[in-house]
Amino acid sequence: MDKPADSQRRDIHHPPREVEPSAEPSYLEHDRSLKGWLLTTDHKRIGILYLFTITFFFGIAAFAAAMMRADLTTPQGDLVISETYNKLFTIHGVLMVWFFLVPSIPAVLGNFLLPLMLGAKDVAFPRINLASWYVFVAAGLFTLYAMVAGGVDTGWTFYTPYSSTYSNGHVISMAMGIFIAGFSSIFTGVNFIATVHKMRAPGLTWGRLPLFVWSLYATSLVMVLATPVLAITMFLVMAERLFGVGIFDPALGGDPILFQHLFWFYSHPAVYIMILPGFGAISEIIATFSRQRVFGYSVVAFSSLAIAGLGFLVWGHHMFVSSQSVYAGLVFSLLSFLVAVPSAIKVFNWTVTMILGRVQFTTPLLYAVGFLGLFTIGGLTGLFLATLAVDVHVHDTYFVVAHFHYIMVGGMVMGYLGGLHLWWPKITGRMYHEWWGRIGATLIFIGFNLTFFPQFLLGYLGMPRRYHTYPEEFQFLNVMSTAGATILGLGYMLPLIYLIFSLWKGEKAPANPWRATGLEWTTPSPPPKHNFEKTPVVDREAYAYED
Amino acid sequence: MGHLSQQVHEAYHDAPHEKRTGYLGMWAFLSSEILFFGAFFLAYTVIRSYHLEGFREAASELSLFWGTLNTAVLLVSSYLIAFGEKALEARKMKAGLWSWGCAAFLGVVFLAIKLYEYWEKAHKHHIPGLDFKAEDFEHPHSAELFQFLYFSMTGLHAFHLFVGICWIGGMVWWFRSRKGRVIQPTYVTCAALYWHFVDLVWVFLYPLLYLIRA
Ligand code: HEM
Ligand SMILES: [Cu+2]
Repeated sequence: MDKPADSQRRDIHHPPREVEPSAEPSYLEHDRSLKGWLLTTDHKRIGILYLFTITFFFGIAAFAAAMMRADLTTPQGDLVISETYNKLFTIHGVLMVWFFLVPSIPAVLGNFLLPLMLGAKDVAFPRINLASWYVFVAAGLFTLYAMVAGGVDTGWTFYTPYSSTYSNGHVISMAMGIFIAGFSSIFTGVNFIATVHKMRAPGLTWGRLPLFVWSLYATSLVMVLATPVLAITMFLVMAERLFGVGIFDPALGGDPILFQHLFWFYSHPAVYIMILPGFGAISEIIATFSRQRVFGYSVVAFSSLAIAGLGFLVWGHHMFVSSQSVYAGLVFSLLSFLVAVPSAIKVFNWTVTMILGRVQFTTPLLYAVGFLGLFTIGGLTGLFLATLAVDVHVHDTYFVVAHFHYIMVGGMVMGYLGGLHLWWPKITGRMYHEWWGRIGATLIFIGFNLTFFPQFLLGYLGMPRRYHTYPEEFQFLNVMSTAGATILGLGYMLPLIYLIFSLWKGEKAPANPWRATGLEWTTPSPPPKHNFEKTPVVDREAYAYED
Repeated sequence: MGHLSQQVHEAYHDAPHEKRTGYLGMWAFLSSEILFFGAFFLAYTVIRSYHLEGFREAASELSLFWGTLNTAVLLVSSYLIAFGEKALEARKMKAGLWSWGCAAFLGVVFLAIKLYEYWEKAHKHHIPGLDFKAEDFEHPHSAELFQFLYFSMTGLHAFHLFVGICWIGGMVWWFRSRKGRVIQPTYVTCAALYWHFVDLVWVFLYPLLYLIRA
């Protein structure tokens, strides 16, 4: 660090930086024309474009989920036929994973905040940033086309040889969508890596970076190194369908396990693309509302990198029952346990931070606390699954479904919503209604647990995933789950309503409504086009709360 | 003709800053590209291990002559790119643009030879999936898999090379049209890096597809 002594000078009170009202119009007012939005290279506007797009995809995917849950209230599944059911869970999984979870925090909040947090005018390559959004939209169109043209029934994992040979659906178009979406991820990753390395304000050393930036950095590394493998995998599936050659089809001399290796080599790291940015948002929320430096800052920062690195070594835990060798199984099991270590470190450090600080239970903090609980349950059940013998029992049951929803929906979506609330005043210049915010967060937490906890039990009792009928004795738990999903759905509607409402009726937000320390709070809300009047100079560590 | 100079885009502090940022972005992108081809190399290795005989058989169908010539063509082009980059940096515009122009031309030569090889295969009805003449091989399934990998790996490489030709060609055209105005040195180096990367991929494809044979 530049001035190591500086961070220890606790006696000197740093008054919150005064924020001059900017002479420049804000990024929202700058050029209101449609062209001004669609051809913008402003990272803030691109973040907003992503916000609209992924909210749209989330809506469709959530609708598919609602249909499935409704279908599962009766053992015979009276609402849709089994084929439709298969198409529903495929589109749900594909849209949620590639078109919501992967881009949610990086592309929306990351795009908006990364340059602001670094004290930069923009990301390193603004035009590539815009291109990534267009690529993303094109990818979405392919996927939606596959959906309306008749749907795909393979599930989001596209296991071969079903997807490559037997399925009747529009696999090619959907695989194309995922293939293209990958490039959008890679562009974003490359851009963020260069931005974090090269666009930091003077004095903003690596040791002073906000933890959100660290987590985006680790995520970007995974995006850049894992996504291309998925792209080729999808390419091979498409080609196999088109030309009937058998890379993956054993009947033609191929190897379906090769597909699984390639797929999970991406998709396990991809679960960290989905959760690492959530970790970052949670760190910011907890520091802000505990008025406390995150305990063990550097350990938390490096654990993101450790997770990103280890994440590449554990893909085989998805293949314990795929006839991979026992020794491979053992190694993958062991390595999977290792990933739990940095994850647990984070959870402990957040908890200690809250204990040391003075906690204000605001809306974002409620989301963060929810995150801690749900992620812990998700992570612990991950350890069950990583245990070879247990996995043989619960593999491909609702236990797995519950596990990854606890991580991805309980973890990531809570992180995303918490982050959205934390930065909403900065993004829009308006305050949302705090009381409704708390109601929303609570409702989501209750609805979530009611939806997914019964699924652990169902899975343990032996209900397989991806079935649209089940024996009578599972009905009670399934009805509970559907009831929970209704509450959860309602919970998700609330933020949609009061956040939009706040745009017109919300109080005007000051530059720093939470009295937080990050650079993004030293510029007006909403920020002017070029973020800062003059480049800020950083002379203290992140989270230098002194009061 | 334009020339390289220190004009800086507004997001950057100064020219070295802009330059280093550009390089870093390019390297990050290239590391992603390595894994892009890496997935193919893995698929090739696995499938080959099941189909040794057929792969040998099908590989010996490839023309060692054209493959070797193409390798030579690409290596020379890489040299020309490196030479041209140094020349442009030293403001020897004419030498730089000529060698880049020639490198792009060699890229076209490579693609022409590749197309000729594809045409030859089509002629012999060896295109997998479309009209594959199984009688020509003792292990038709394995041979077809080899052909498929051959076409997709060289096809992906050819696509990259095509992008490279447009990139380098576009730079040459752009230099000439920007009479006297300035050009970021980063653009030059990034284009060169990309070209070298594409050549490097070929250096792996060539032994894998052409040289390992019966
Ligand atoms: C941190 C974020 C994590 C995320 C986002 C995540 C997500 C997922 C997802 C999406 C699946 C389901 C894949 C499918 O459709 O088959 C899954 C399964 C699995 N997860 Fe996790 N997971 C996380 C953490 C962990 C941890 C920490 C472990 C182990 C220590 C773990 C072990 C497993 C195992 C073994 C399976 C496969 C179960 C089976 O298919 O039988 N996960 N996870
Ligand atoms: Cu995994």
